Amino acid sequence: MLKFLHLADVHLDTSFYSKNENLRKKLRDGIRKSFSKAVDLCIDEKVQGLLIAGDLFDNDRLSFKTEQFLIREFCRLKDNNIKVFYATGNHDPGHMSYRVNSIKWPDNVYLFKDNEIKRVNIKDFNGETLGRIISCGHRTNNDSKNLVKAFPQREGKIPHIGLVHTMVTNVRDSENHNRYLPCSKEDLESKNYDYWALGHIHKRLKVSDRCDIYYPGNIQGRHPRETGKKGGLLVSIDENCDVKVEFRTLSTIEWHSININGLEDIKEYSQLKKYISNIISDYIKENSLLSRELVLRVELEGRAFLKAELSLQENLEEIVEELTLDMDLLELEIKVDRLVGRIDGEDYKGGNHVLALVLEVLRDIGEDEEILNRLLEIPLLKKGIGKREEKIAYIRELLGGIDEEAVGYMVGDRYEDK
Amino acid sequence: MRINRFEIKDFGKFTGGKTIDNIDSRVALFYGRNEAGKTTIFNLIKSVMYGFFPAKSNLHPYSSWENGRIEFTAHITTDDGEIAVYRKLLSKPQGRYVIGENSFNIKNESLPMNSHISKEIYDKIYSLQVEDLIEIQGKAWEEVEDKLLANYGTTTIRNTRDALKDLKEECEKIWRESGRGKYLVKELENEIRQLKKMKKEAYVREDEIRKADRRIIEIEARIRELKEDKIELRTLLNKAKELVPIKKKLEQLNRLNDNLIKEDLCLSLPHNIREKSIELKRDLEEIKDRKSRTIKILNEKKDEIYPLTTMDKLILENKVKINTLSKDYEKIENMEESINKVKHRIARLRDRIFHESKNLLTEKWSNRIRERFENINKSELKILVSNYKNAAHELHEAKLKREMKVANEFKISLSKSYIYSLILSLILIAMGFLRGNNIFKTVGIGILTYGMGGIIGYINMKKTLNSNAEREELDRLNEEVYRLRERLKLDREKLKAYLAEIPISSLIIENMDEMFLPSLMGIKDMVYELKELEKELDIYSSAHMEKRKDLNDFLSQFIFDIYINEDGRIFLLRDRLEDLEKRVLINENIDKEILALEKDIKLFGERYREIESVLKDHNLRLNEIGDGKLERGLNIVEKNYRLRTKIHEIMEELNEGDKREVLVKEVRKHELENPWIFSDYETLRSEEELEEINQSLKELEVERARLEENINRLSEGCSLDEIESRLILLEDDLERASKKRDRLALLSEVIKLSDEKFKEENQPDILKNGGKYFRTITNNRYTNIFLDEYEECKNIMVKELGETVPKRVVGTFSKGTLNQLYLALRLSLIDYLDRDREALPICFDELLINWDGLRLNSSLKLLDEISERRQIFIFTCHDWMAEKIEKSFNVERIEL
Repeated sequence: MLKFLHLADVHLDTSFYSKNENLRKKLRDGIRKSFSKAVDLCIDEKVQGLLIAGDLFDNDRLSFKTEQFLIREFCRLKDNNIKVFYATGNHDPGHMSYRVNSIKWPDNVYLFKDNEIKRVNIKDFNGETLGRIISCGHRTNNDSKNLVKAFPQREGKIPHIGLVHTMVTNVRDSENHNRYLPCSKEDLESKNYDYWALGHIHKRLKVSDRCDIYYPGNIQGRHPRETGKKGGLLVSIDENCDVKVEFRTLSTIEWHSININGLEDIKEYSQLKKYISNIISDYIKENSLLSRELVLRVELEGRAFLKAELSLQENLEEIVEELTLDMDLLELEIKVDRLVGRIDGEDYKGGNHVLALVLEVLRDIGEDEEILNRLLEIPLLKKGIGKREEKIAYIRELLGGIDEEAVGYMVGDRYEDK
Repeated sequence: MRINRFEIKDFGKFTGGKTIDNIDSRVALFYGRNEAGKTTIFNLIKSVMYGFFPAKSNLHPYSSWENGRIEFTAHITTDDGEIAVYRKLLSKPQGRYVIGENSFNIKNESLPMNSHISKEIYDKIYSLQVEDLIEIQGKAWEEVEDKLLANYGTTTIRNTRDALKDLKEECEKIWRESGRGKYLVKELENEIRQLKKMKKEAYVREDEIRKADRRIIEIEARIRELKEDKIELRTLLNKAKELVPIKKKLEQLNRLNDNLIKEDLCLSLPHNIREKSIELKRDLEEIKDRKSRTIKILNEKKDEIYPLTTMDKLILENKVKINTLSKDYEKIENMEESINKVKHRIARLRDRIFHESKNLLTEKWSNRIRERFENINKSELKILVSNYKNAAHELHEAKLKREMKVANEFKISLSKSYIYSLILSLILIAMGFLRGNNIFKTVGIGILTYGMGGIIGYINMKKTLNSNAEREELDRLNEEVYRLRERLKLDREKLKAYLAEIPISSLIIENMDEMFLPSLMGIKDMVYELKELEKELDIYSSAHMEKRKDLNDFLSQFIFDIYINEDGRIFLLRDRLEDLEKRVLINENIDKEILALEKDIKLFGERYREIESVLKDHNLRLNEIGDGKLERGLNIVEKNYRLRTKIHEIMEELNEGDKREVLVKEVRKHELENPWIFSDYETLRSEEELEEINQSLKELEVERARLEENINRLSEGCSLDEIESRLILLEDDLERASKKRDRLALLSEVIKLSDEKFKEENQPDILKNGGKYFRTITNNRYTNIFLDEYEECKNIMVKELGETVPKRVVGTFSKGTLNQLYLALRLSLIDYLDRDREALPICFDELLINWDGLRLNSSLKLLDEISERRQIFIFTCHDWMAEKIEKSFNVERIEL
């Protein structure tokens, strides 16, 4: 039986979303720890190979320390007779001028560093072939050719595993990623491989319902949008080519994001702090998280009595500091720009005035083609959305909960003065 | 709402109680020249409906010019009935209205029946002056739309224009299409650009830092290398300094060892053999001398021993017995003293018995009597004496009772008073019979009864005392005396019999007194005590005799001088024993000394022989060393000793710190591996080499310091990590800002299109109604009014009768037509605002003054129609106009 661990987008020595230098250091060390955990897992699970689908490190400025760390970890795998199959990505391309080539990798590391498609067989102690790795790497940081099409078709009965750092263009979540070495889901499916070990999208993703084509996501979140548990996929392929895929958490620090509503009746600081604190505690409990390894973004939204107070940076810093200490969080960020004044939109629905009509229009916006067309004509700042569907999806996203804001603007200060 | 009457106490120019009560309920016409008070009335109407603004009399423009206050009452007809509104403004506003019998305090608030129209709207729409009618285009119309139409009815909702303006401002804070001015996205993009530039610079800096780091690593490696060389060289030089003297000593040691002669034999002799031989000879002489002195002392000691005689030995053997008997002798003396004391007490007791018995006994005290007393039992005697005494006592008692009985026999005699009473009664009775006097009879019978009663009592008493029981008691007492007498006799006999052997006279017994028994008992006790003392004397005497016998028997085995009395012998023996014991102790000590001296003598002999042997052995060895010559042998031994001392000194120096073996090993090792360290020339050359290394190290350290300084300088700016993190943060902020702007833009668009839709839905009624009014005013010249939006600017279009395309209202239209169009729209708006509510009065101030006759008539016709629904106040200063209105509406002017 062939058993391997599939990792991608480790991004060693990457930069992080944080103003806090200590946290950045922790996150940087955290990635190394996560990678060490991955190596431990390989050893404990007695896998035959570790598959890395690109972007092992973030850029050519890999520190000597991290370089030494990588060599040390790969040597640990070598000591346990585990091979490393490493296909380069757009962040760690394999051309001679790039860093990958200047590192002296241990001899258990198979490097796929250019566009040439190579096949490597994985053998057991008796020399019997357990599986075949077919892979190519990114030569430069801007490879845009679809190389998957050129991958050979499956041959024979031995398990075939494709390893590549690619952008599958027709899957969800692909729109936010650059189109390096792009291919389609169908290109991958057509090869009839037993497993495709992909890299590039940082979110864990099963690309096809028909075949085992996976993005494992990155090994540790780097910013508030890369949330939740991160890790690798432990894959077993038996003699009958039945594939078993199991996610294993490797991240030591997790990013999470919570949206908090219901601030309408909260009129004082201690009440607000307690309310947020309770929600965070519940969230931590529900998701079995360890607070001191948690980087949390809290998005306050909806009607809030204390909107004005919360818009003051000083007040926000105070509550962030207290909550971080009280809850022993690694880091906390609170966003308040989705807060609106304390006015109930329901009071204005159905009236004989413009606001009632605004609320009605917002409610029916999806069904009114004419209004939608008019909104589509508005020049938007968001870049990279050319298609009508993409724009509609974006507009829908923006209009979510906007009725409260509409009420805020239409009623506004005059109401509050009263 | 129609105002019927004003009762003005103070309001502007009206003071002192002006009443205006001829107000027409449909069209109220106020006529007066300028400053006659038309505007005052117009403001009075507003104050009736909305209260005072400002709410202080000293600030209000219509405070009474004379009294500085406001006070009025207005009588109004409303949909709910007749009401009276009273308002007053001093320092504080007051207000109430009365409807039917109910009075309501409204302070300075609006009347509830006009609360659906704000004061602001009333000012703008309901009160019209001629100059208002030209303001129709542009902003004025938008204002009408926004404030009075679109969000009318919900005072909390802002006008759409303001909301859109805020949104636009908010959007422009984030992003501006023009790119001009300061806005968030621009700032963020600028900062991002700046950071990206900084990032490039940081890359360059980092490259330089990396190069410097690499060079530092190389330098450090070279420094480490040089330091190791330096340490090695220094170590070897230090070693050379340490090992060269060692090596020299080792060579000296070898030379000294080579000079030693017959060292084994020499080592078996003391190094100072010459002195040692002399010393041994001297020791021999001394031992000899000491031995002879010890023998002499031994003999003296032997003479000091005391020889014990047979008698001494006997005394020492009976040491215990002598000590015991000497102590017992004191007891014997005590016994003799006790015997004498007992004997003395016996003699005294015998004398007392003799004396005591003399009073009681009839004979002289003898042993026979003593024996009898000894046999008396005290208890028996006590019982017998007691019985006798009791019997005597009881007899005496019985005799006394009997005598008492006899003596107490009663002698009862009859009282003479009874006899005299009897006689007197008889006399009285008789006299009574004789005289026939009942009183005498009655008194006589009474006294007779008394006398008879006494006599009968006496007879009965006599009978009782002479009864048988008395006699029986006396007999019983006589019998008792007899019985006791017999018992006394028997007890006396018993006592006499018990004391028969004791010579006591019967008289004493029979006349026994109280001292009888104690005397007997005293003698009995003394006899007993005497017996006990005699027993005690016997015991003492026998013990004394036994002890005395033991002493005499013991003393009999010793021989004493005749003149020593018996009592002193035992003490003599005791003293002799003590003396002997001291002598024995002295003898024992002398014996121990003799033993020690004998041992010394033996040891002296052994030691002498031993030294003699050693001396002989030394001489033999010295002869061997000196090849038969004793003196030569002595010289060789002494020379070897000197050489050995020197070797020893060198060895000690080498052994300092217990490192000799290690050092020797090191010397051997370095002789093979680094022989140069023992060469002065080579060590000098190495020291120079060391200097060169130091110089290189210094140069490398200077270079490292320079590089580190360079790194510090390069690191002073933002680090790449900081820049990249900041970039990520800014990109996130930019994305959020973009999203926010897009959201606001969408919201703005939604509000805009909702506003259009609303107006589209609501405008037609107003425009339609306005068109109808315009048609009336213009005598069917214009039929419809439209609103058209072109390039964000709204234009009013009107349609002429018979035309299909509406005409845009522009400045070329006649002033009158524009006024009429505006009036038509205003009236239509007023209808819209008041729909389903109380119709508020409208005020026209010289409004129709410039209109031509035809359109004036048409307008008045329209107003007539409107006055059916609401009251119209018209103010004019033109007489012709006043007349025209009077005629048109059939009303009378109110002159001010």
